[in-house]
Amino acid sequence: MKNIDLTNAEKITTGFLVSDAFFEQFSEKVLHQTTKNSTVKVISFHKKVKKWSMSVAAILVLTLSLPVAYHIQNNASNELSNDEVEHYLIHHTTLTDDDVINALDQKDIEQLKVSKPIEHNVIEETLSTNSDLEYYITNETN
Amino acid sequence: MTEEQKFIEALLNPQTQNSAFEKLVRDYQKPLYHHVRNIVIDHDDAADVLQNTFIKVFHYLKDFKGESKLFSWMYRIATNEAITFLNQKAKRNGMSIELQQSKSIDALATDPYFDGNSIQLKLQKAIALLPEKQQLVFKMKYFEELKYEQISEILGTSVGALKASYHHAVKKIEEYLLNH
Repeated sequence: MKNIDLTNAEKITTGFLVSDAFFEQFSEKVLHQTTKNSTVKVISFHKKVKKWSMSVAAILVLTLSLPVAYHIQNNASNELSNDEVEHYLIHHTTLTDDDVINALDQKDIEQLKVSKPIEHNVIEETLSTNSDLEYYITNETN
Repeated sequence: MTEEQKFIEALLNPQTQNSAFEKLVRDYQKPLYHHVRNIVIDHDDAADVLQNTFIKVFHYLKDFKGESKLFSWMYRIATNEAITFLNQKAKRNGMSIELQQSKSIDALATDPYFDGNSIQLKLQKAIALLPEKQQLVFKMKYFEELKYEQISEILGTSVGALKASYHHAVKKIEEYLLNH
């Protein structure tokens, strides 16, 4: 191919096509959007997107936090702490120690051993001061 | 008072603004369309950018201080709108602006708004290989036949730098056309 001299050779046009009808319609459209609606405000697309995404984020947080809050509230109200149970047993019941002991099964006793380890000196003192214990030990082993 | 100054006054006067703006649109829509089209390539994209340009021109007329010519001011808005559009389109499609431009040019072959031949297509491809600013300078000088002084006002570059840029662009394009 021979050398191309853009400066001196016949101009190469873009080849882009556009009709005159396009410009007629275009000017009408633009004038309608501007002069006929003089209060046209150019709102940044990014501002709109930011506002929209903040609203969505707020709704999501509320939607997710409500069931969690409800769950916590429910569990808190349904469960009593051990201290509350102990306090009730001591001050608000007619149950005797024997009644409580009879209500315990082997599993509860095993659990008590783990959660409330008893020191040897406490065991010795209890054995020496409680006269019924000999009766219990003898009858239980039988 | 020059004709341009009278026209700017008419554009800023609420009583005459609408009719003056109508004249502005009718006078500048074609040259601005071609300027934008040269940048964005696709006709539909050019139509969108051109619309945004005129809406911005109308919105910011009150801030136009007349320090530059109205023509330069409008071309500057159009250029910025077109480049921003291209960057956003490339980002939306997850590709570089160079690749986006290359795809747009490839699409010209089947574009109903393009009736160019292989040389015209090859010329577009050659231009797309230039740095962004150099592309603008070449298109505005070669296709739009703007004077260096006008291009200088629009791009904010000295006439000397523009002449050098254009000269280099021409050499690179000629080499591409020779070898492809």
